[in-house]
Order: sequence, then C-alpha cells, then structure tokens
Amino acid sequence: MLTRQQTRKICDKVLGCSNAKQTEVILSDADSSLTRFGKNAIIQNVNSREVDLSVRVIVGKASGRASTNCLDDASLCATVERAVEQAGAARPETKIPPLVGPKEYRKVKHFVERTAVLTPEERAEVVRYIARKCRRAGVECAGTYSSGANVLALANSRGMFAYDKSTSAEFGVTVLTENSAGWAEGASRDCSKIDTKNLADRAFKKAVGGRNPASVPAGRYTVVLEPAAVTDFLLFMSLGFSAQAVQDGTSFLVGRVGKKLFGNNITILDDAYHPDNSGLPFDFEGMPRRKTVLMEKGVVRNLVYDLKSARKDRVRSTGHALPQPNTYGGLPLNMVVEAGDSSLEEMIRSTKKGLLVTHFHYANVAERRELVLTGMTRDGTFLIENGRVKRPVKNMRFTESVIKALGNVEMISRERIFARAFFGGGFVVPAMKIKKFNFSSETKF
Amino acid sequence: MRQLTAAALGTAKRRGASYADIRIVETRAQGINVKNGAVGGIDDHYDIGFGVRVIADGAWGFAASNKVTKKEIERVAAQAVRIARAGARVKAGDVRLAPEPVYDDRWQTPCLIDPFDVPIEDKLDLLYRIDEILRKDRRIRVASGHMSFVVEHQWLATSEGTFIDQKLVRSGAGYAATAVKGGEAQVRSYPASFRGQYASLGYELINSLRLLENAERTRDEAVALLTAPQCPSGVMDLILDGHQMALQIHESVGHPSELDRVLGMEANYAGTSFATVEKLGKFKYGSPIVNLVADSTVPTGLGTIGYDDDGVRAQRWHIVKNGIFSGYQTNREVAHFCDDERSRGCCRAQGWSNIPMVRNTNLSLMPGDWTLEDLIADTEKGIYMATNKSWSIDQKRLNFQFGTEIAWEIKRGKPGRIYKNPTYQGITPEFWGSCDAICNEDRWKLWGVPNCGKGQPPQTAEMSHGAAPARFRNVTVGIVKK
Repeated sequence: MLTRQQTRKICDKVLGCSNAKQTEVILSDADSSLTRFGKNAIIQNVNSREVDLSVRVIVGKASGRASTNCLDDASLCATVERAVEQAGAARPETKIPPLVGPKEYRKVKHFVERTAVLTPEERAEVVRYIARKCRRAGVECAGTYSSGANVLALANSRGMFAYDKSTSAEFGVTVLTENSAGWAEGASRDCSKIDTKNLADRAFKKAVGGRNPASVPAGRYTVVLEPAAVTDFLLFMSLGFSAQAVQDGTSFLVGRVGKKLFGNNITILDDAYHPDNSGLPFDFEGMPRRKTVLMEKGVVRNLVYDLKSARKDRVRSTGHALPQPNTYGGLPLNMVVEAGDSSLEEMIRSTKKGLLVTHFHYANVAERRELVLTGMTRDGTFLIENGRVKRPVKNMRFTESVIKALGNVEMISRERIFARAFFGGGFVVPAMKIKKFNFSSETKF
Repeated sequence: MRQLTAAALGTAKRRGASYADIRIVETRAQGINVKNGAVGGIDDHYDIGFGVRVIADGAWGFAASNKVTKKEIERVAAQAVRIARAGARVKAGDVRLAPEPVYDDRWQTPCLIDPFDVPIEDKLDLLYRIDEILRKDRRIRVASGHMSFVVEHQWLATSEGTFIDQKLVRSGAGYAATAVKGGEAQVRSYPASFRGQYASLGYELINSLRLLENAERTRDEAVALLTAPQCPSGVMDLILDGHQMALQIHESVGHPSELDRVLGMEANYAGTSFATVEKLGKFKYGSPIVNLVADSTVPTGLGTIGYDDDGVRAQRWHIVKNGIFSGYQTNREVAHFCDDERSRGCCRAQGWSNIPMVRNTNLSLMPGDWTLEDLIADTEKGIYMATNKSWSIDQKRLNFQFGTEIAWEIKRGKPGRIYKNPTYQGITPEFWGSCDAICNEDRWKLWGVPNCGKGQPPQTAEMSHGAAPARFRNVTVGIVKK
C-alpha cells in the first residue's frame, strides 16, 4: 500500500503541475480480496489492486475535476490540465468556499496487519466449515468472506495534508433449506475479531428453525427488529441529516430541527471515532470530522455540514463533506444509535403477539418528507406469542414511516453491532422493539 | 496488446491453469451535473487496467491490477492461479464452460458524434439553459441536470484462442425539478428519472432528446403535483407508461431470469429467483400477449455488444413467449444447468477490476397493437402511472411495490386529474397474467438502465428495456398514504 511519504510525494507532484490558484488532490489505494461461495462451494475468488487520483482546481470562481488511475508524471500533469479545462468551461460562482489550510486530526488506528495479509487459503478454510455443515444437513449455504486494505490521502495547495490507512474484513452467510433461510454477518477492521464459526452456526440454526413457515395476514404488529433490520432505517435517515437537503427543502427534517420527533429513548450521534466504526478522522475537504449529536432524547439537535452548506447557514463545517462539488452536501456516514437497557430475549419475553425480523431486503423510499420506506423481511421472520418465538412465518412487506416507527420504540438493546445496510454504508445499531409497525402485503415464501 | 495478453495466458498455462482469459480495459468517462445554476459535479475520468481470470484445479481465480506492464501481468496471472487453487479446496465440482467458437474480431458501438469531441462548454450551456427554465417558478427549489458519457475500449484474449477488440460508447442526459411548498416536495423528471435517458450512442443521443422543449412542461407538472390529491387506494385497472414498464421488466423478469440467481450464486445478497429450472417451457409467466425478448444485438441498447466477457457472440432469444417462461440469461459456466448447449452471452464485468458474471442484457416487452388513445378510451375506470420514482421487490422477485412520479385518473375512457405519490403492488406472475393490452410500436422505446447493481463485491452494469405502455387489470394501487 502507498505509504504516507509516497502519497505526499505524488500529491506534491500534482500540486507542482498546477498553475491554478487553488488545487486539491484526493488519492486512494485499495487492495481488496473476496471469496464468494454458493451451493456449498467457492464460486468466485478475487483480488484487485486499484488506485485513483482525483484533482480539483478552482480557477477564478469556477471549479473542475479530473481523475485517473495512472500515477506517472505525465499522467498527473495531464489530469491537472483536464481539470483546468473543466473549470474554464463552468460559469463563475460566488458560493465556492476556499480550500482549507493545514489541520490537526485525531489519531485513529484502524489498520490491522493480519487483516491486510489474510490469504485466500485462510478464507477458504472458513468457508469449508459452513459448506461441510450444510452439505451434511442437506441444505445449502451462500456468502462472502472479504478482506482488504485502503489508503486515502488528501492534499491541497494551501498546505492541508491528511492520510489514513485502514483495513476491513467482513463475513456474511446465508443458509437455505427447501423453504426457509437464515442469515448472519459480522464486520471488523480486525479479521480475527469476527467469530465466523458463530455467525455460520447462527445462520444455520435460523434456517433450520425457520422451515415450513406459515402465512400471517398483513397488518400492524409489534416487531422485534434485530440490529441488521434497524440499520436500513439509518441509511435513509442519514440523507435527511444533510444540512443541504434541509436547505433544499427535500429532507424529512424540514421544519423539524430543534423539535421533538421521537421518544426520549432515541439518541443518535455521528461518531467516526466510535470503537465499532471505522470512520475517517477527516472529511473530503480536509476538515476534521466532528462527533455530532444528531438527535438527543428524541429531539433533532444538529445537522451535518460541508463548507458550502455551512456558509449558507453561517455555521462551521462539522467535517462531513463528500468530494466536491456534489449535489448532496455533507452526510453522516458513521451514525451510532445509543444503547438501551434491554436485550433481544427480554424484548421477545415482553411481547404478547408480534414478529421477530432478522433483516430487511431492498428497502427503499416510497415518500421522502415523512420518510416512508417499503421493503421485505428476509432470512428468518418468526411469530412471537406470549413471550416466546412460536413459529416461522412467510416474509412480509412493510410500508412504514421511519418517523412513526422510531416514535413507537418501546425497548432498545444494550448490545450494539456494526451492521451494513442493503444499499451500502453501515452503522452502529442496537435491536429495537417497535409497536404498531405496518406490514402492507405478504409474499409466497 | 497481443503481446501483453500472451504474457498472461502463458503464465497461467505454465502455472497449471486449464483455462485463462485476460481483459485489458481502457475507459474515458465524463459526468456533468448542474444544480440550481451551479456546477453540482464535474469529472473527467481516465482509467486503465486488466483482470486475469483462470480455472485451475477446476475452480475460478481472478486477480486484477492497474499497472499494465508485462511484469505485473505475469505476477497477477500467477496470483490468479494461486487464488483458484485455494478456491478448489471447497468446490462442488469442476467448472465446466459451454463451448463457443474461437473469434478474432473487432466490434464497435455505431456512433455518429464522439461525445468527447463536443466541447464541455456546449454541454454545460445546454444544462444551464434547462436550469433557467426549470427555476422560473419559485416553487422549484431544486433543479438538477445531468450528462454522462463513457467510451470503454476492451481487449479480451482467451487461452482458447479468441481475441476480441471491442469499443463501447454510452451517453445519457436528463433533468429533474423538485417543487417544494409547506410539507410537500414533489419531483418531475425528463426524459426519465434517475438522471435521464441513456443509450449506446454518441452525442447524437443528446441532440435527439428534445431536452429544452420539455423543460417547461416538466417544471409545471412538478408544481401541479404540490396541490394534487393523493393517489386513491383500491383495486383498479392500471396503465403504465413505457419508463415504468422498463422498471417492471427489469425487476420482475430480468433479474429472475438470470440463471446464476436461480442456482443460488447470488443468494447472500440480491437473492434467488422464483423462476426455477423445472418451470422452463411450462410456467405461465404472463398472459398470452406477453412476449419478452432478450437481445444484445438491438441497436442503441446499453447491453448491446459484439461479444460478452466470456467471448460469446451477441444473441436474441425469448425469455417469455406467448406468456410461457421460455429461456434464461446465462454465461458459459451456468448454461448447462438449464440444458442449453451454448451460453446466451450475458457474462459481463464492470471495468477491469471485477470478475465477469451473469448480467441482464437488453430485455424488452414486444409491442402490441393498441394506440395509447384507444387504450385509455377502452378503460372505464383506472389510473395511468408515469415515470418511475421508487422500487422494491422481494429476494425471489415475487412481491413488488413500485411508485411513480405522477398519475392520471382515467374515468369513462378519458384522462382526468393528476394524482401525487402513486404506488402499486403485486405478485410477479399474477401481475403479468393480468396484462390484457399493449400499445403498438409507435409508443415502443428502449429505456436505458445505467445503474443496475449485483454481486459481491458489488458491480454496476448497463442494459436497456424496450416497452410501450400496457394495461393490467385489477391491480392494488395507492399503498403509500401521506
């Protein structure tokens, strides 16, 4: 992987090529490996090494961007020239904030050598365990075991330089019987902290225990959502916490900042430094990423800002910028939901009649100002009766406002995990028990 | 290029691979966004790299790098063989490739105007002019316009002797106006939502889209939606416009007919499929007027190619014929699981850094014989929905719920008032079984999908779906209430 010194040298070369008054460089280097399995066998096994260098120039009052994956001197200068050409064509703007100067960043350690060097043979051994178990039981498994190392460096002509080196690993497994499925997933920057055997056993147990599901009618139910089901709500909420989305009038938080939206039990932060997160200590403008209270005891406290949206609201950037220019503004990419004082077992025990949901599939926004989402339950949905998991049920479609759902949260678990959302991103989330959750239709399995 | 590709194939063979291929891919891409009169995103990207895919000990291995040198190619080819051998420790059987003739060929997207020959000033000028029209009404809080161009040059060489030099060109453009008032936000787009219309064409696509001419109407419809009544709830007859039909085809026919999904290879992410192999040739997928044809040869389709990434020549075949489920989308690896002797040529990868897999190609609903005017006149009470806004479908592709930007009431055969937040829901074969009328070829159009996600690691692919408006009887509509 590119070292701090190597990235600095490349960035300096780019800055040296540029005659623009302001120039910014984003340089990334990724070494990614993934073993994919299906039908109890490894079906894909891949590695890729990718670098990307992106240059933004501000010429007068206009900006342009160009990028390349070629790091020879001629390519670096040619990329700068293409960025300058883009800027020359754009109309002058009064709203482009100047680039930032040097900043201090909090030290984070999220590079773990053993993850960076995990071999395809080691990944295969992990797959072998669940594949053998499923083959013997006459069921099938599918999933992935991925690992990788990433470098991100930022520099600009005002002397800002930021560098981050990280690793990530993730193991996810789905077990399929003739009419049921079970799923579990774990992620960490340290592959040795993912209990792959436990995850595999959980998916297996859930699939086998979910056989022969019965239909239950659509309607409003008390639901116990495992953490992975909660994380999809966070993904779509995150877009609404963008100050720019509020300025544009498209966020579900328009007119709601400072107001109580949920119960006292809902507190949400954006915290790149949380031990279960692997957030960057800086954003894509080079601003230090600030831990931000988004929602406190149900009250909407803060939005997140990049330099441009901050200037409009006359506040400071919170350090949540994406690469500029963009149409989103800042985004909270490292949301953390505060833990409660309950457990999944206590939630089930306290439920007279309800549904236990493992996670959701393909949730999407159906109406954005009330943040109405629709999606399917997946890989293990169970009926709870009189405090016990009674039997598996067929999957259901929910159509529900996140605002209403998080206003109806009765219990939150102490335990939290980092869980990925279906469309990407991931957050630190607990399990939740929610009353009156709307399921709008049923499916056939 | 042949010297470089030979280095990969030679190394793989020496290391014991029974099959190898290498794709060297060079891409130039340009994306331009204008939002509320300012540049909302602009990038001019150049990228080159290669991926080596091998079969060793009966298992796949793949490795990729951005350094296109002989030394690096040899290193990566050796790495691919090592990865394959690791995978072979947990295999169900040896990978078997369906036979395909050996080709030495060149293929290129027909293109009249190279999009990179058009000055960026001209592109921005058009987007600025559209932006001005959209923001003439103060209730339009967000006006956004977009253009995108990609030229992808790929060299594929296989250990069987195939060498293909292929250049693909894709262009796209569109815009959206978001009207906001009080607690309401409504959007209208043109020519399609999610960044517009895309095709395998050069800049001539942009010139043909009549972007400026439709800006005023798009803006006015967005504003009108602010005060429009909510889409009613109930069971009624539904007519979908071509763009929503394209989404319906993509989600409820395209993905379920990918054979790798059926076999469980995608089970941990995008899901499996209800369209299992024993249903082939027998299952009633839709009404007898429903004919869905996969076609990677159709001009301007985003999935139109000379050859896929397995080196299989482009083809045309039925997925659904007269309502009966008739075919799968396959690659060389999975074709034999449905007893096909040859791959359908649907194996594609995103760029050089990803392994190819089964992807949707262009898949279209064949036109019927109705005019839209006659179809509406023939509908006593119903609703006409246009332009996709939201989508969600279960992991076997049965239960779906989709939403559009706008709908019109149909009463006694005439279009009436508009509705906001239209949604409908159904079960795939029941829904296609209720299709009783399809408009004719005058209304048939290929709609580009530039952002189809699949796979782990996730890959994006492009394809088009041709459709004309069609009618479905007794559909549940109006699920989302505000």
